Amino acid sequence: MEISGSLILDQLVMGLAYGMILALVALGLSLIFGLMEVINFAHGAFYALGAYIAFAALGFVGNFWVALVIGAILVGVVGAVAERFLVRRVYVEPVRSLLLMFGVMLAILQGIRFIWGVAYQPFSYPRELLFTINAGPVSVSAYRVFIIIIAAAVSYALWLFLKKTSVGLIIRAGIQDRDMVRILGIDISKIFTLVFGLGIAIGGFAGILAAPMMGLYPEVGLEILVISFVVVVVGGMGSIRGSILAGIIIGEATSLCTLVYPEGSYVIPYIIMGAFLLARPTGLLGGKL
Amino acid sequence: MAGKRVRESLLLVIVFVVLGVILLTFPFILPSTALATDILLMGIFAMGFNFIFGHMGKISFGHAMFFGLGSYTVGFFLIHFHMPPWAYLFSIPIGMLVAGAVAYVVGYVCLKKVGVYWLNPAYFALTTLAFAQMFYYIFFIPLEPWSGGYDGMWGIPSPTIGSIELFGVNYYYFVLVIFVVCVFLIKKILDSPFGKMLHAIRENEERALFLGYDAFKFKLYAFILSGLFGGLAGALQTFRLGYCGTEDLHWALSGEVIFMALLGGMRIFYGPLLGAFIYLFFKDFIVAYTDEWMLFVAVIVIVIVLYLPEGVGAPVGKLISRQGKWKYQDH
Repeated sequence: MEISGSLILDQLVMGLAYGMILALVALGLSLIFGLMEVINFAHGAFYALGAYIAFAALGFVGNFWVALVIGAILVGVVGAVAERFLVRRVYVEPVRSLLLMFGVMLAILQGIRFIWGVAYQPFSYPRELLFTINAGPVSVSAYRVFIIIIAAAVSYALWLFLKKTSVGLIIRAGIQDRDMVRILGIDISKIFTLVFGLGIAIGGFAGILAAPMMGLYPEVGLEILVISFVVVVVGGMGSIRGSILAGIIIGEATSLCTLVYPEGSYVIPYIIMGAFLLARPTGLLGGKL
Repeated sequence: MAGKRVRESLLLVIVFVVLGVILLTFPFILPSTALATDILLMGIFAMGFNFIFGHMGKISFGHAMFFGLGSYTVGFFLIHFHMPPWAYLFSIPIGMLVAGAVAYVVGYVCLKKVGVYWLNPAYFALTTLAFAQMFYYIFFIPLEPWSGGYDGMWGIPSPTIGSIELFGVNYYYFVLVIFVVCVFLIKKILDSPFGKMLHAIRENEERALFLGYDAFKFKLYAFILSGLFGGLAGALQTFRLGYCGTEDLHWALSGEVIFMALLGGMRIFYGPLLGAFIYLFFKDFIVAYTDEWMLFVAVIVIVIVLYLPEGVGAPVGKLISRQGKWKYQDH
């Protein structure tokens, strides 16, 4: 295969779209870990659940945009309920909370298999974005560009929410010192529920965005979960900018590697992670929002 | 009191005799010899894994990596290297060594410097899982011409000792010998100063550091040890099945071994063993009726984490502890 400039540009756009999906998933993980020190093992399952709910909603209303919103909100609600009734009981124990989320992950996975079956299901692109954008030598699908824009918008909105609102202030304070926030008389448990639901809603949103490109099958979230763990490690736990940056790095690295050595593209994220663990264990922007 | 002591020793002897009889007749009590063999080798895997999990208090979510490396090493040696039949068994220690070497590298990378997160024992789960997935893909795609990719490697012959072919019940007794040696070894290691150090790290890693112990070294050694036992279990399973495939490296196996330790009681010496027995026995039973046995696993994980964090072995342990010598130790 000859590697031309336009091919590289094409792969760059694909890598960016993939990277932004990873960044969105990692954002939720990172936020939940930052505030609650819970490693949300079920994040990938929620990602898949969001996509499946949107798939069902698409069957009812037939409109991609409505399905996108319904899927993200519903999966966020499921996440908040899981926090309220399950995760809350094991906050101070990281090992137990991880195991609990592992159980939740298996339960969701089985639930999906039960309701929608194990078979691969295609998820149609929104009709409005079926065209391609031609810019000079490259032509990219409009949907990819849309993913990049909307993911950037969502992460910027999250950033503004954390930086400018009073709830965001409490969340940031909680990431620094949970107990101090509690001592100041703020009911942080409500914030926990909110952040858990929000993080999962963003993860589900990412799952729906990715669904037209990757299709639907119950294990769709697992692969993305592991890669987004890598993103979180590379970007630094609890850092929003770090997650986005690392997401883009991993996405682009994977995408460009397919040009040179396709078999290696599965392995490259882990090599990057290993290098970071040795050279910069706090990640790109660990400790900074 | 001499009388009490005699009674305790007697009890101990009875327990060992009963256990011995059960283990010797295991293939005939259980529905199949295969199940009995699997319980023993998964028991080795789970007990080795528990060095990290129950005893050191860190979660590794990548232990399938060692299991798989052990099983693939055996597969590679027997299929690609055309060894004479008497040398088949030597692939088992080689598989262990490969797994141990990888454990050294992965453990070094994941444990050396983990920044501000080293105090969260679950952080380790992320990095180990990621490396395990890396090995999964390496065997799945780039090594496909040799590893068979999705299909795995079939037709691995049974090993022999002299003229005895280790197959079926014979193989069970072979695994039983290794199993007994392993249990004995693990007990010895845990009772040694090294074992106590692992518990110290679990209880308070910062304090262990301040006392001047190189916690990293102990963590790495424990990780390598559990890698060796994982490799052993994987190698033994390949001979049991005559097959090795990517499911030996799959994350689901890492989840299963955590489940076994959790179910039986991760803080009890024999807990993972009990967990392996219960899990495999019921899996064997449930799989006959439904494919959705993972749902049971999910529910049990959640219930145990919330209501029975010490596992089902703990109540039994407490009961025995009333008898004195067999104290329920918070291992």
